[in-house]
Amino acid sequence: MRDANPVQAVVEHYLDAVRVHLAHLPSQRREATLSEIREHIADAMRARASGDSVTVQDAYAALAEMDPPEAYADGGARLAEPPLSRKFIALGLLCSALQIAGLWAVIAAVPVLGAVSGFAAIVIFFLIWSNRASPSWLVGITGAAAAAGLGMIAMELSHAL
Amino acid sequence: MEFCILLVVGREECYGYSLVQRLRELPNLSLSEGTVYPALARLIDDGLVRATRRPSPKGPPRRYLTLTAAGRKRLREMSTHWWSLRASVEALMPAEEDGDRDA
Repeated sequence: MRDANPVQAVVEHYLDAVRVHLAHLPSQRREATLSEIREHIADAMRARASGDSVTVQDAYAALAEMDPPEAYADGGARLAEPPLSRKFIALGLLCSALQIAGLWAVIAAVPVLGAVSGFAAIVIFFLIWSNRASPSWLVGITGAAAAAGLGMIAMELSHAL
Repeated sequence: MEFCILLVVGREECYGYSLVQRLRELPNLSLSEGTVYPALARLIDDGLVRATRRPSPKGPPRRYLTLTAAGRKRLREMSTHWWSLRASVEALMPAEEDGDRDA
């Protein structure tokens, strides 16, 4: 165990430097990343060790082949999403269409249809909003439709009460 | 990079070290620890990759990586996009000339 401490010190020194460059990440993700890197170093050291025990030289050799701590700084940046599928764009358009249908339903005095279409508009907005690839214009349009849907539900509720 | 990680995890059972080793073998990708681990943590955070600790046939217990249902779906979407992108770029490439082929 006496030999383990200097090895651990070398590894922790590297991980501390990496931690500084991961400061922009949420703490849970930062610690998960550091945990993965710690396991990677342990595997790399074992791959170099001649026997069961890992030496400081093994630790330095393993770290020398790894990226420098500053290389982790941009690694967690969000990458470009794949383009939004036509399905989601169709959902957005459907959302708006449902609202128009809902308004007509109100005019035609079919209250249930107005509330149902309003509810559907809210659900579709949620689906689009929760998809990270959704463009902001589509989120905006469906958000407005959902707000109108919410108003429609409130209107139907007030009529019902 | 995200695509490459999902491809490797989707194809074979791996853990962090073996994933990085596999990606490092590939020329021109320039993927190593500094890029892979933060991206892997993000993929786990986003629910696309699952990490499960279990005993290893060699060495200590490891966090094995597998794709979740959402990860498989994302991989299919990215593959579709990749083939579409590749077809578009190839359509722009000049026809290979005899001299180039012989070279």
